[in-house]
Amino acid sequence: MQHTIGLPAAISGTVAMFLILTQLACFRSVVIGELIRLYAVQSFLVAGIAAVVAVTTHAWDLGVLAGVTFLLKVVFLPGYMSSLVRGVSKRVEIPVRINVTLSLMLAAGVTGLAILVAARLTETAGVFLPRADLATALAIIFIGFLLAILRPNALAQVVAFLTIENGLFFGTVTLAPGLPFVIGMLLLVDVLVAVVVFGVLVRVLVDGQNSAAIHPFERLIG
Amino acid sequence: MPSIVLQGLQVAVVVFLAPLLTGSIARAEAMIAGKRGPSIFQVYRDIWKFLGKQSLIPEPASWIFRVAPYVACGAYAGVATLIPVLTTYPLPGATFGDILGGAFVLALGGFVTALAAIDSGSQYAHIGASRATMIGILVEPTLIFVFFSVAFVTGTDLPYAMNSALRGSFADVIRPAHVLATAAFFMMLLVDTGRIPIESSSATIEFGMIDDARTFEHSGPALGLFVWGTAMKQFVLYTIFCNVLLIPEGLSSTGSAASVALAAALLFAKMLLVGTVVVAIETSFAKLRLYKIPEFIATGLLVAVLAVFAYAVGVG
Repeated sequence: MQHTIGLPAAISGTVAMFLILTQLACFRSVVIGELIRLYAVQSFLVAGIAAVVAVTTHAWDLGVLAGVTFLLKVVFLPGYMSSLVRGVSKRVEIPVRINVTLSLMLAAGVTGLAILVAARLTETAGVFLPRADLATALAIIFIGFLLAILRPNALAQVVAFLTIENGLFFGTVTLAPGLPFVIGMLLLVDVLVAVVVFGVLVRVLVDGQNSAAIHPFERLIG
Repeated sequence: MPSIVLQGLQVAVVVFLAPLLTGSIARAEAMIAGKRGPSIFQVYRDIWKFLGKQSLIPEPASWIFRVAPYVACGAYAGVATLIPVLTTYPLPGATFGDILGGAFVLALGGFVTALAAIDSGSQYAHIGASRATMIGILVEPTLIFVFFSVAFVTGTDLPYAMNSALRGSFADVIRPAHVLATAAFFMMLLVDTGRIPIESSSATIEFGMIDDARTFEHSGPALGLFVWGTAMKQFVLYTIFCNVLLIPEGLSSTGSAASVALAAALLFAKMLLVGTVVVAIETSFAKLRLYKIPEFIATGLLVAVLAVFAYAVGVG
């Protein structure tokens, strides 16, 4: 069952695998600052891929989109989220529902599912779909959902949501590079709005949690 | 040169250059920390000193304790016959075993070391042996998946054939399955050579020690052999990582004296490159708690499984 592979396919596949690895790394990190940094790295990779696709297909609107993605998701959003956690501590540990090893195994299973689904889809759909890219996009989305489910922490869930969006963006860029510029921008603005809303919610939650954290001490008074 | 001479030379390179690699990495580590550090030949001096010393054997120890250093050292040197160290074409010993066979022989070295540690009757050595065995059990499946993945990509499980299959095509070296397998192997390399996420190699005696604790009760020549054997094991693993997985180029294809010397020099250069990365990791990360080690290895396993999966489904 040995099969060979061309150089472009190998490179794009490897970059895609790195995307999945950053997504999986989110499970390993139990510190919120690290999660935000991982998100920045993943966004950087996605923006890079968009730029490469823009150059190879001569789609300059996609290049602009890549630039905006870079500014928004690598510079602005991580910075904004870091400022959100500044109220708490950046090294605060996120609670986990199940232990890291088990959640990694679950993530592996979900990734496997994504790869299988992508393989089946490309077989039966009868249209030309780059299998590796579809599998990667699906895997990132699935793992993002899993991350949101397994981390009962608002900020971690925001990061999970953002990585899901990264997966979607990666999918649109690689599977449908001819997608209109407006739709791409729309997705980005959508994320921006969502994050600002999330930000307000997190702010409220953090305030609430801070007061909740000192609650046990109130019994000690008088 | 006749291939039987090359075969001997290959083992000699592993046996006699191994302490130099360990010494160079230790030196680089000290330099990054802003210290002058020991000479790169310090490990040779240490081994020489140990070999000239008197050996003390604990009272409850049996013959296993005495034989273990020789078996361990022999096992690590023996693996050198199976892997492509200098030449692109297989030497007579290359078909004695495949890459899993090599892993078994390496495991034999670890096994007798653990046995000797238990045989010594010392609790510290015992703890080291039990920890090393626990980690070994976890590392094994990862390595097997790595080898599966590489065997899928190259269509063989002989290290020499893997090397020649990968040398032909750059696309195969950077395809997802191979990159993931290489990454997983690198993580296991850190585990097996006792590097920082797992244990601190520079510390002398501490609670978290694993590999070095096993040889606590050995002294004199026996300890010297263990130090040498550890260096050889590291050299062998680095050779597999460099010549089979990472950079399959740079080996001698003619077997002439000059090209073999060049191949040895290139191999050492590649190892220093890998060593630099290892040192960078060593200086920028903290040691994991003992109970976090399985998480690290599980991550490696995940990467290796992903490699096989990606290949099997045809994604890469």
